[in-house]
Amino acid sequence: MALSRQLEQALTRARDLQPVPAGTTASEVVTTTPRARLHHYGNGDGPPLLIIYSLVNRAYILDINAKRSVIATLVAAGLDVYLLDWLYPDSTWRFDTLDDYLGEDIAEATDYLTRDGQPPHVLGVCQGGVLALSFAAAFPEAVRTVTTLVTPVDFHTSDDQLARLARRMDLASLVAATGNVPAATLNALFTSLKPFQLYGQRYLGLADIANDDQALTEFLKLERWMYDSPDQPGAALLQFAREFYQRNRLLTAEIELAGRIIDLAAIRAPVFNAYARDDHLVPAAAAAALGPALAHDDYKAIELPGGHLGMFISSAAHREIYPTLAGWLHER
Amino acid sequence: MAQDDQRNDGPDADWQAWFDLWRDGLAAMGGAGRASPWAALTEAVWSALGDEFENDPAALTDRLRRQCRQWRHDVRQTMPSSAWLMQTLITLTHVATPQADDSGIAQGLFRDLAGRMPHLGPWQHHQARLEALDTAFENYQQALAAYLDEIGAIAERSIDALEETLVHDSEINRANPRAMYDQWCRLAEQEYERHISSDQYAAALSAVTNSWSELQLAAQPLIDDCLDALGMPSRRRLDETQAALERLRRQHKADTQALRERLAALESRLHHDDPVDD
Repeated sequence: MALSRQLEQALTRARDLQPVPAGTTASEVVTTTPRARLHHYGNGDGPPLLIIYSLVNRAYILDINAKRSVIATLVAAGLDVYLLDWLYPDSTWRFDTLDDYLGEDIAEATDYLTRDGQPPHVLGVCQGGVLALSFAAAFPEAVRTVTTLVTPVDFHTSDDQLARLARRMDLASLVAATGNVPAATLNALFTSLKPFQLYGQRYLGLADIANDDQALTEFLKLERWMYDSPDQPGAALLQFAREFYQRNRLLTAEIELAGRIIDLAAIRAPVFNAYARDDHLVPAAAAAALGPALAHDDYKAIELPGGHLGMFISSAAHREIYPTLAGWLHER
Repeated sequence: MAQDDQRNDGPDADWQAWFDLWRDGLAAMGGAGRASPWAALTEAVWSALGDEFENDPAALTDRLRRQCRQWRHDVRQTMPSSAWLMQTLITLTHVATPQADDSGIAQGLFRDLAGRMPHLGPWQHHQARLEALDTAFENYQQALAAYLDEIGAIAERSIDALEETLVHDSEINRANPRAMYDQWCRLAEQEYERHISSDQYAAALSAVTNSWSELQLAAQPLIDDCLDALGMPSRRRLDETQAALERLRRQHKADTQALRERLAALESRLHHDDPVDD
């Protein structure tokens, strides 16, 4: 088939296949916090695990493919999975800070999941991992274990391009100019890290899967997720970028959130840390810095080959990370 | 599929049709495609590859260079001009200062701005805002031009790298435009990754971001003046409302917390049969 016809067929078929679903695993909303809904997956058996996702994208990347769903895998492994699903911020959130996210949303969710005095396991993803670690440092008694996936801890590693680019930016002016920072602004920054791949090559590949509905559907689901980005509450984004990206204060224990100094050495819970070797958003070294920052030895780290998204959707991750994580959680 | 990719397996028009479809697809993406200099650049390269092909690396890379230079020229042409800003400022002045609803006054304000006159009289605050916007606009234009030069330099180097590869690597399928395009994308991404680590690039990107923020901040008061004059909600008034709501929310939260603590204390005393101290 000629190339033009193949691409035309792919585009036509892709249009027919839209809209594509966001997630695959059934859930129910069991409670709400000021900025999130708490989703419950599974039948309620097993120890509760609270997933805290990044504020930057939507959490359904963890459940985007039925065969490689992080959430479904953890449910199948016998964990009682809950997801703190951040809402799309409106303009009245522009003054909300990380203190609010920790002291209100995460605190309320962990309170809700504390049973007979036993707090939940907490799993943070990317920026959500920073929130999870900060919460565990601020309220050590409120978490049973902490798991971090592709989570930056040292924001000043030499290969951290995002941090390098953010360091000279006048973020206070940006937030003053925009209020909540539009998703498109952050998307432009992220895509500018791989512009030729994301703008130049990605869509041409559609011609290769013109006759494969399943592959087209998976492409469209990922496409939907990539640009389904909430605006960022101005004050919280400024705090995160300035304190962590520009000043590296998660590592230096020089930041106070929710009325507590955030010192990773204060974390008492066991820690499981998984990161990706070729991650261009969170370099492996930035994530691996967590181990030495802890004051205890109940720490397990796994480095996975591949990039940032591979941690959620690659077969290697589903073969190596999640079965290991489930076993580790059950032991604790 | 690989066989279908060959330009010589069908009419040349097929390649052009594919290119047109791809370009239309980018256009359909709106902001994600057309608004991005990256998309425009890759489109320019794609277009060069889609022209009549000669199996001559030097000719191809010459054409790519011409196309990239054309892209830089086109991008510069689409940047808003000072004339556009002048007309916008005059329009804003007309709306924001209805008492001075006279084109002579509005244009006079702008002439003062152009001559950097002192800010005097009843419209001096407006004059100061116009001047701040003019300065911010100039700074943004300069930063954007410098940033686009950075991208253009990366594109030029990627073409040098492609030429080098074509001369020395005989395994590349030169008859396959898509393979050539993919090769260029890979080389360009490599060049880009090298360049993005430089202080020069970080400075250029920060300058364009920061100057854009300053431009927004300089423009907003003038836009707010217009909206206020028209009796419509302005960003200024929304900011005030949001700030008031935020103060109320924090007060409410503190009050609720205090009440909870008080309630807990009362329950504790009741539980221990202590007299409640009101």
